Amino acid sequence: MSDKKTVQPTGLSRREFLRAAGIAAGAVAAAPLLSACGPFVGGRATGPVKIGILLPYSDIYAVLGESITAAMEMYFEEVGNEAGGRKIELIKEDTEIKPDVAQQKARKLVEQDEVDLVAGIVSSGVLLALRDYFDANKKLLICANAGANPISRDRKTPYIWRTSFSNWQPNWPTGKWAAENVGKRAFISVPDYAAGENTITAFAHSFVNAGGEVIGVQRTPFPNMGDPAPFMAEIADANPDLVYAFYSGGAAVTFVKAYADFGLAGKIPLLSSGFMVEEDVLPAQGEAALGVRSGLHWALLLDNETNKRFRKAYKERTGREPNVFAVQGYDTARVIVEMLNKVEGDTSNVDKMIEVLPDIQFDSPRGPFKFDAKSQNPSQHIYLREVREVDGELHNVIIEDMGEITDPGDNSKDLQV
Amino acid sequence: MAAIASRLARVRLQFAQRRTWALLLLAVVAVLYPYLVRPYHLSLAIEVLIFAIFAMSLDILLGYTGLVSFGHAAFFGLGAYLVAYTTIGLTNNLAVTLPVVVVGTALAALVAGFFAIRTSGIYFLMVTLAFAQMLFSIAIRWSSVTGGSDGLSGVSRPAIGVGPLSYTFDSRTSFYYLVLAFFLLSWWVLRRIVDSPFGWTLRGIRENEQRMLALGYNTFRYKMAAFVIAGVFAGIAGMLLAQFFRHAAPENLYWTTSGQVMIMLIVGGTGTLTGPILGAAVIRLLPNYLSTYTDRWQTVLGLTFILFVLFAPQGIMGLIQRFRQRGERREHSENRTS
Repeated sequence: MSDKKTVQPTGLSRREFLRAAGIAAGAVAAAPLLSACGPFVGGRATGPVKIGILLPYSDIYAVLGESITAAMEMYFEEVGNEAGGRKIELIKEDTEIKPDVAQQKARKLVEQDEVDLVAGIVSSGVLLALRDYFDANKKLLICANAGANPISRDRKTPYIWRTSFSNWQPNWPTGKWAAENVGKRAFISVPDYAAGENTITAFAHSFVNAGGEVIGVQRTPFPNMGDPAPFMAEIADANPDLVYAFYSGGAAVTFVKAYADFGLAGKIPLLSSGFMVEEDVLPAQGEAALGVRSGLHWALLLDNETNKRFRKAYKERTGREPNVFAVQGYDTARVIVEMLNKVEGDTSNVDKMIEVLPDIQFDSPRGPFKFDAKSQNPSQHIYLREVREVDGELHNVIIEDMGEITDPGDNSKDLQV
Repeated sequence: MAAIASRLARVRLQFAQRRTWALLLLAVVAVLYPYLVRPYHLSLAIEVLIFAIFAMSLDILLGYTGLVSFGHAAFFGLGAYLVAYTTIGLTNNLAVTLPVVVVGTALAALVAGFFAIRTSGIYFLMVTLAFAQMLFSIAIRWSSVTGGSDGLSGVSRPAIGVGPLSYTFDSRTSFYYLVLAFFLLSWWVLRRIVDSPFGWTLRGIRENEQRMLALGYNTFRYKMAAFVIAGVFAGIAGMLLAQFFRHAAPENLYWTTSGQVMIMLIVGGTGTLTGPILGAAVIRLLPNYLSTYTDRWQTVLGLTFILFVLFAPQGIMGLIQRFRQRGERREHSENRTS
């Protein structure tokens, strides 16, 4: 700040202010007359289908946004960028991870670009912030990642469908599996925010019902865990049969490495939600991640034809191995294409588009893909995986298919601990 | 060449003298705006007006009193959460929600101010930052009340009146007028405040607090009052944002929000009240347009800030003033020679 500051008196006297106010009031009265000739023009039957993409391209979730985009574009190209007899046009906007930025961008896509539907959304906070906007404006949103449980439950709206997962989904079957195969006394470690809480209640429900006991819960600061040492000490003191954790991105690397550094790896089995050891963080975790077991709706080594083809094509296109987010992007694009084919490119009626969604079924890299009409979320297989060395690289090897899991659509299968 | 320049200068001067008319024209455009543009631009205008209130409120502290607060988002976010909580749990009637926000943020500002104002300079900055981050932590962790990291969604638009005589600002156009009314009222009130003897006392404190003390002013009380006023108007801005987005997010409390509003002041020009309005417009609109054209929009934005800090340290208002003074000077010399 500079020290020399010029101070100037105001130029508006009370009389002038009143005059301005008077004119303003007059204009308010006259305004409705003009409203008849509003500039908004809606309805567009032919021409390309415009799809708005809301993803983070900057900030910590940029990798997720880029993976989803690359796979979406890959699928659209596979079908010749055409569906339902119309060309497909993508309009991409960067949401960062800020709900207010996402709000602005959603409005731009819907109102300025007049897109036919919107896809994307990585962060749960952003999804819940946008929920009322899409609901009020009756615009279709296909969510490609954010797993906030409420969107399939008490905050459900006909206009938001998810191709990814609910936070409940990967954790619930893993709880039962852990109680039956690993041990009965579990310690849970999660970041202190909504997705962490969703993880605890889903895991605890099936774990306790299978005869297990949650002997301790640790909620670490979010978004930055800081020094992991005290949390590792707490785990060592509790000396459980197993640790169940959920971290993603940088925190996942910190946690898994600290777990090995403090000598807990190999002593107390570490289980987690699959995101903690996904392909995006595995290289950074290195050998520290060996032996971590996790539940997720996909794995790189999942043995099916679509997955093999997908993996090859994605690697050719981007030079990298795909991750679960890319799979979700790929499936999102496919859902959109199938939907457009079913309504024959007619996007003028949002209810018609929603109506055909539950009928969409196809072979996805994650196995069979289909929606559960109640939770508006995929009904999908969850795989129990373990990090092992395969051909000199670390990957998740599938140990068991835990079956098809559907979000209950309410909180009946959650347990508060 | 000189003749053209002098004529230009004269036009500039005349324009300055006709500021009232320019303002009137602006008022008319503001009122007719919803019927002139697409709905998206209307929502951008709503955002700009809301952030303009927020930025003006910080100007009272930073620009007029010389208190560099780096935690102003505390009151902005608090306003958002208070209205969200009240609206979801009780009513969306402004007769209830507005007093809740005003009283709530005023009390919070009293408490925070009581501690913060005992310090100055970098310490004041740190205390205010800490206060805002503390509220952010509460918002993230006390999820049964605040919704945790997901925030509080399902905030309906405000209403006024009772029973059959009630009106809800549901349409975007009506909400725009509500925000415009709040903006004009805030602008008018804050103008009156900074032009009052109280406002001049604040400037005195900014320039030389020791001297104000020697003159017998209880500067603590004055600074406290400025802190509370700034807090309340920030709270009102936060309230409007939550009602507009139908959502209160923990990001509203985060230090990046405090930083953003401070940048609005720096870009617009501190201690002018008008500058922050222009700054709010630039900072809210520029990334929006830039990010459509380039993925490297943050670089462009960063360069813009650097250029401002280097070449226009007094912001847009400083530029305008320099421009105007040059015109006056030229006019002056012109008169002398002829």
